[in-house]
Amino acid sequence: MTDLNFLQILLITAWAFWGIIDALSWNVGMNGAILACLFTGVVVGNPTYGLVVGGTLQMTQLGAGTYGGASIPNITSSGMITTALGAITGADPVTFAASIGVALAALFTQLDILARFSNTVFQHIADKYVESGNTKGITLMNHLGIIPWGLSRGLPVFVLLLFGQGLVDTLMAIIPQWLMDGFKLAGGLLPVVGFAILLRYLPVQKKPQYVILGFVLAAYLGMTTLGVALVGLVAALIVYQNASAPTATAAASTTVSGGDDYEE
Amino acid sequence: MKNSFTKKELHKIHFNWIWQSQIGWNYERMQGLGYLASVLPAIDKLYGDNPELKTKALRVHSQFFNTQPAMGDIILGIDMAIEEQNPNEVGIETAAAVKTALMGPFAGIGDTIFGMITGAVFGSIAASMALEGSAIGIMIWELWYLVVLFLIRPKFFDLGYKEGIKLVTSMSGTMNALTEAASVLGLTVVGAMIATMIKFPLNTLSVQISSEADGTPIMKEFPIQTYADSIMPALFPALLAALCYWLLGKKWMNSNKLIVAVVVLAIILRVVGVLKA
Repeated sequence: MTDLNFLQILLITAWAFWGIIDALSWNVGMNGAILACLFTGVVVGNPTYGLVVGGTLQMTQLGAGTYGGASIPNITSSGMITTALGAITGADPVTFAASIGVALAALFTQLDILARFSNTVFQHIADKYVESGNTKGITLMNHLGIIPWGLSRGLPVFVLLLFGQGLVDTLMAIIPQWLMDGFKLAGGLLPVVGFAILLRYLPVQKKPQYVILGFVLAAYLGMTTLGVALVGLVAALIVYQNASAPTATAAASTTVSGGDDYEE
Repeated sequence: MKNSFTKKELHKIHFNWIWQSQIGWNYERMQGLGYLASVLPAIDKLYGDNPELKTKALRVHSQFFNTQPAMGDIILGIDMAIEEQNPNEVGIETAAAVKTALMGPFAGIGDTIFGMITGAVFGSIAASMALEGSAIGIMIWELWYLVVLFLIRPKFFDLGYKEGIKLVTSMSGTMNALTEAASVLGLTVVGAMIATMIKFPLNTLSVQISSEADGTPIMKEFPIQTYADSIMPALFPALLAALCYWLLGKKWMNSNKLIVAVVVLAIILRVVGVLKA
């Protein structure tokens, strides 16, 4: 395959820039790793490559999110870079995603933090407009946040696609086979990180029985994820009905004990 | 009421929130700037002829705010109902109190439902299909995003606006029940995915147990995957998940370090031959 041309780099960069803005607003899924990688794959002429890279990286973060403004590994930008550079160099997509993809995703966390930090500058200017009653200025300051946000995704994609090709060729030549195999296996193990993060958010210590329920249905009975989700919905409805039944009879009463079983 | 909002104005304010709630997100006020920018048309309409009230409203609405954006639709709706009915100091202060009281619990429910559960269920379907080269899974997820944007979010805003402050009292009872139910669904799904999504393919180890008289080694095969399965299917994925969960509870551990640890573990297990390539 030939090198990336400038138009391809520009298209992929534009998607990366706008993807994060979409995730923050309309959220039609542009910033999802799989869709972003699929788009990149289409641009470089190998959609399947994009799907496999996106799928591998998505597996490391099932259900993970930036809850409470936490920064998480940016598998979208790293996935787009991995797809574009991997497809033209012909590296194995799973291995490439689990090595370079995972490493870049972790590295890009810093850019996310930088963007969230940069926006405090606009916040301070907006605070002055609050005092002077300048509503147009407030709206402008809020919109200026698009620049740090977009650049935190677009810039690394642009720079690495422009200068990264030689680097990838060298890396692929010097990394030994045993290490490649290890990375490929890591791709299969990494979903565990996403689950561990999720369990930290959920009240697993108070209700371990539901984790066991889901595990047994899938491991012993071979039920699909959607099937287990339906059983989980049944359990959730029962819990909901039981929990809201006593308060429903005393609907007028406003005294409801504050639950603390949700770990923020 | 002379100050009641038209449908168009309400639509505009909700549109503002969808578009602007997080583009100015920053560590200091989080969605505070986005919230303020979203309600500017309401502030202009309700307090435009009273500079003192206007300044107060601008100040109050630029306070710290952060919640899950779709759940924020409900809060915004409630706020609009409150301030429309009480376009005065009391109304502004009530709205501020409601915002502060609801953002935390709403974030909890919203993150669980819109982030964790849907992300885990749709994400696992989309990722497994993508690994087989199929885009159908991601298209199903896409559909869900559109349902949230075009069906759920407008409904949420209307619910908040129509019910107004009544919703706070009527929902406070169901709030805990909802959070509990959502987390039960989440726990069940995660339990299943630990069993199916973590690939821990154990090798068959060949060990020399003795040798023939002429020195030819006598090998014995140990299919450790079969042994593990006879104890419990997905035994090692379950153990690894428990270990990672425990590690994440440590102060010195974070998700990035954990990823590196898992990658290193995979390489080591491959090199010593425990895992099958």
